[in-house]
This record gives sequence, structure tokens and C-alpha cells, in this order.
Amino acid sequence: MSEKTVVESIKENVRRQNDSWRFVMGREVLTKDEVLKRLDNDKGFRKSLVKMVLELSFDILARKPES
Amino acid sequence: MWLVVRPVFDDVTEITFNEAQDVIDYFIEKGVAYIDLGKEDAVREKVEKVLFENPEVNVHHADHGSEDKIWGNDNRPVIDLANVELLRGRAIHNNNCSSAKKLGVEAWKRGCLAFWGYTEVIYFTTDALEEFKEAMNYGLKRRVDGFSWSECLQKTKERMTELIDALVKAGKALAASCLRLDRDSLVCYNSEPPQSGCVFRRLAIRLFGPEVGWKLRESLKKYTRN
Repeated sequence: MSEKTVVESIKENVRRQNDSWRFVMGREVLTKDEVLKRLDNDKGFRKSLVKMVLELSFDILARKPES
Repeated sequence: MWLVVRPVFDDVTEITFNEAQDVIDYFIEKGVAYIDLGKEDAVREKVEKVLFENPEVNVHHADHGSEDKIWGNDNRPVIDLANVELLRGRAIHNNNCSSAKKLGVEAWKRGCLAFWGYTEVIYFTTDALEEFKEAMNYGLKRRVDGFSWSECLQKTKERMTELIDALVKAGKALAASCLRLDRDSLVCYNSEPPQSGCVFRRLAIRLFGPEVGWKLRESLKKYTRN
């Protein structure tokens, strides 16, 4: 799966949020439109969001089944 | 007794202020004494005064943090490396960004009983504020229930994992991703000593243990001075 596909999935998720939705990173508060814009224009931001989402997948995959 | 420090000066601190209210409500429910320094009262002089006058008081800080300081209501830190000594013999529970990175290490070196906090910036999304509030306050509530700091850390990480799973199931994958990051940067310097990125420091910690290894430079300075 390419980075482009992951970014598209993230964008799809963000587009589904309502207009009052905010993404908060410390002091930085981004609206839905700002997140979408930065996913297009800010390579560092895009990479960190892709990493964040992939790490969640790895985290879930690495879990041992509950006994 | 707990001192709750909760400034409000932007959108994020509106949220952390309300999260701190949840802690206060729990203190009231459990009969725990507390002092509330909220909004304009959450400034350095007032925090220092309470700490000087109440040697047994522990601290809950809900606001912005940086690697070496935690902030007050007036754009000045309430605790930084200049007054970190005030944390000696106390516990501090932080709902703020990054303060465990440097301030926490310094506090631990100076005898802070427990420094609970995050080594990185805290991430969250507003579609899961209840879940984030529960995660941020869970450890302190378990402490009030009588668990050791080590148990509180373990229970909090377990609860955060449950919340992550619930968020994934609810279709809130971005919120779940944020909470996973927060979970992994949560530390408590008491149940575990700070970890170092420095090779020499890590070697010193391995050779002499965390108590000596973290304070080797200070000990050497003292030794060469004498």
C-alpha cells in the first residue's frame, strides 16, 4: 500500500467529520479544512499523520489474542 | 492534599480546565482535600506560595507544558527549572505536553516522589473528548483509590488501550491514533526512572543504577570541587 493510499484514507476520514471537529497537537488547533490543506501542502505533517495511523495498525496487529 | 492548577487562555485550556473539573469532582466524591488555583489564580507566585505553605501538598497541572516548564495563566511558567526544587517530596500529575522530557527528569533527580507526565506533545481530536478526559485523569483517580504509582501507570495504559479499541470500533480511527501516541509517551518517574538518549548516561545508568547514573555529572562536579 502506497503512502498516497493511506493519505487518501485519512482525508476521507477527515471529510466525514462535522465542521466543529478539531485536530489538536499541543498548542496547535486545526480545523477540518486546515488538516486537509496541510495533508496536501505540508510534507512533514503528512508524514507524521501517516506514521501515526500506521503505528496504530501495527499496535493492533502486534496484540496477543485475549485468553 | 492536592493543588489543582488550571489556567484558561485559549481553546485548548478551555478543554483542560474542564478535564481538571472532573478531577476536582472526584476529589469531592472521595473526600480528598484540594486547593483550586483556576484561571487568573493559576500564576507562578500563587502556586509557589501554596507549595511553600503546604509541604505535604501534591500538584495536578492541567494546561500547556513544554519540555522544561509548565505554564500559568499569564504566559509565564508556574514551574520550570528555576523552581523545580519545589517538587521535592511531592507528587505531580501532569495533563500537559512534553514536560516529562526535561522538567520531569530534573524533578525526579531532585527527589520528586512521582512525576506523572508525557514526553511528547499531546494529540487529541474533539470527536472523542470524553475518552481523552477519561484517559488523562485515569491515573490520578486510581491514585486517589489507593493504588501505587506503578499500578496507576499500568492500569492507565491498559485503560487507554481499551479506549483506543473502542474508538476504532466507533469509526474514530484518528482519535484512536492520537490516543495511542499519548499512551506511548506517558511516563511516571517513580515506578520507572527516566530513560536517557545519551549513550554515556545510559552506560552510567547500567553500571551504577539510575540513582547514581542520572546524577553522575553532579557528583563528579562536587567531587572535583572538594
